[in-house]
Amino acid sequence: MSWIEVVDARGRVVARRTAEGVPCTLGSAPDNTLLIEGPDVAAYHARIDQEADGRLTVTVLGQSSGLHRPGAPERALSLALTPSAPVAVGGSIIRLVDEVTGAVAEGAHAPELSASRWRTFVARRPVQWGAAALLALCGAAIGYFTMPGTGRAANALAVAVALLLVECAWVGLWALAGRIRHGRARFGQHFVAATAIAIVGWGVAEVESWRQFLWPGATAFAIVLPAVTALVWALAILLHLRIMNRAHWHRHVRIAAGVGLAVFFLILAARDYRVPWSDEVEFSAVLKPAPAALVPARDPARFAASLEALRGKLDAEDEHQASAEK
Amino acid sequence: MHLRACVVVTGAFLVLGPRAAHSQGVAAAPPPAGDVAQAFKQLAPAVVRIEVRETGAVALSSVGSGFFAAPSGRIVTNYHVISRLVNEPARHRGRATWGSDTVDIQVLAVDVVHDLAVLDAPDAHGGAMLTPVIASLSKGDRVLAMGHPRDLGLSIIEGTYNGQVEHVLTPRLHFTGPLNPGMSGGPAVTPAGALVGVNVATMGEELAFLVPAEFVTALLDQLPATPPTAEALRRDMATQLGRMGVEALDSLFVPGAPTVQLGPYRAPTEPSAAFQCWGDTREPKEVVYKLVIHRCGTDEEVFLSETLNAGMVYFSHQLLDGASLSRIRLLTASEQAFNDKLTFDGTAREATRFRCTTGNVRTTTMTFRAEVCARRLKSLEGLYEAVLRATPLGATAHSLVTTLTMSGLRFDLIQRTVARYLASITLAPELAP
Repeated sequence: MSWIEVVDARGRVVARRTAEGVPCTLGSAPDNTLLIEGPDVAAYHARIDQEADGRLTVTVLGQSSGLHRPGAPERALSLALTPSAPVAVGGSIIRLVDEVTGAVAEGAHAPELSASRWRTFVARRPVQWGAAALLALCGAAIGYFTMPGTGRAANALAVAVALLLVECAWVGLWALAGRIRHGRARFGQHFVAATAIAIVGWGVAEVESWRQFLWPGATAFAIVLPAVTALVWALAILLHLRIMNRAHWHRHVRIAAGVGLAVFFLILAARDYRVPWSDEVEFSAVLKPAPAALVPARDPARFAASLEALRGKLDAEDEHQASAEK
Repeated sequence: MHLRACVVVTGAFLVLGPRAAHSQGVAAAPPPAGDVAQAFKQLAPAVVRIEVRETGAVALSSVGSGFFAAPSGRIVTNYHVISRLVNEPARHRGRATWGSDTVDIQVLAVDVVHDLAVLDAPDAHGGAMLTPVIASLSKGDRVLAMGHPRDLGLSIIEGTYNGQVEHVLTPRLHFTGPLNPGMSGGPAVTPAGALVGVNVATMGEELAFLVPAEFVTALLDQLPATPPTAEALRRDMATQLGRMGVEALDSLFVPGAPTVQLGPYRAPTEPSAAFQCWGDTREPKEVVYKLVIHRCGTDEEVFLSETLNAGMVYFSHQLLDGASLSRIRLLTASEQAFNDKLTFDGTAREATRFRCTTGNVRTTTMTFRAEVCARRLKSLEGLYEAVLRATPLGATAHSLVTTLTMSGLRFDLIQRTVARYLASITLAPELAP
């Protein structure tokens, strides 16, 4: 059995797989078969294929910086990979190791390799882990600082875990769709995108809630906020599609624009949706930590006079029903 | 309204029907022989059994009692006994039975506020008539009540007059005696035969209520010549309720009205003798603040239908005493208390759904977040139910969430009351700016 190994600049074997496992991809993206780090390494740098005669060939993918033989500066788009002819990618070496020689097998099976790979796994995804930490931190802050119940630490933990679980479930669906459609899950990238969307979405909701607090009857935001919300969703869809498949940019833009418009009109339509009859009264207070003196307000008599509009709606509802019954 | 259950103690009505309340059965003291039996014999021809049948199912909807009153062919009963004839006249028919006679009845007039109705029974011949005489009674006087308890046949019971019920907007007499479902609308008389009132409700344990006879007299004095349509009756009921609302509410929450200090706030309490306030302080384990509750209301409700009552006014204050809470946590707790749902009576046929308006209101001492939710009572033209909920903004250690519920009122009265109620909540003088 032959093995394909990746040796880093320090001479350590950092990845390995059997030569029978081709075709396979190599690059800096975490879902490559063989992960390679380095400033000159593209996310999806090259692919290793097996020719009809059994030889292995390394071929450049897309916009990568190319391949070369170790010690030889000439770049190539495609190079054969043999036990005697390794291929250099950035600062790493791709080599084919014959099992009979067992030249590097000793080190490759050492336990340190696993630990190294785990550390590498963590170190190679700083953005993904950062996103998870940010989300957990936000959840913990919400639980700790806003919930009035006892056990603030438990509140913080509960909200942080709940947020992470919800986002993992959401992202898991994206990853599953990517896996089915394109053969690549890319959970980590989707997680970062989802975190960004969640934070932007929270920002939009916060703007709306301050609007409800300060100007509860204002209609100036009636169009603007649905538009912003729709834009956030359009960007979310766009980001999702871009992560799943980097081609078809124009098609993705059209899909995202369509979804954004649909969201916009759905929100507008929801404003006029007639809630089914209920014997319950649901209140919708939004309270914010703002100085009372700075909050726009009316005197009680003017507030009471403004209820006339409410009366108009109630009377109109009856008329609407009466005409419907006729 | 679930919240109402805490303050409304008028009791179960005595009509016998699918939803009739079961009172606690307590045996009456054995009547002294002679006068009760004689009274029964004398009054029995005047007391009738009233039934309302649903025409689709051809079965009973409700059974109650009534009595003949002058002029001839007029039967007095409770409105709640025959409410279906007013609310759903197309589906219901009413009949009165006494002795071996049975006649069809029609509703001639309704006093919905006092739960009275006068029925027209043109084919009624014979039967004695009870003429309402305003009897002068003292607490402890014996009173006899007649009716058809649980439709078991005409019965007479003996009880005690215990004066006027307190904490109500509409007068009721307190009768200590074993009234039971089916006796609604029956007469309550002195042993000499003078009408004291009309059986109307019980709370069990011999705690029962009568409509004073003076309202029977008033209603009999205003009878139309012919039975009006159900629609005209409902219009009249709406007018009565609207008038009652103005009388009950227009003098409340005015400057100088009683207030109670809750934390740093002064809020309305016992605005008139008809109101009674109850309170409690709780320290729920799951939260880190104290909850002080202060509720005020009148001990009554006005029956409109089996599913809808009106004519009630009550308000409640919840003080969240959260000295150890940060401001944001106190805000979250206030928001949760503010957004607690309320459930009302009624069906989609009787009322529109609730619609709400929100605003920030500034009085001389405070700024409030206020929300008013209202619905229109479809069957009673021009009447609405409304809830005001408000909380002062800028709270630091204490937060007050106050709720005012008004039912069966004209909208202009609701508007005036909302304005006065908000203005009546102030910061304690030492804290006011």
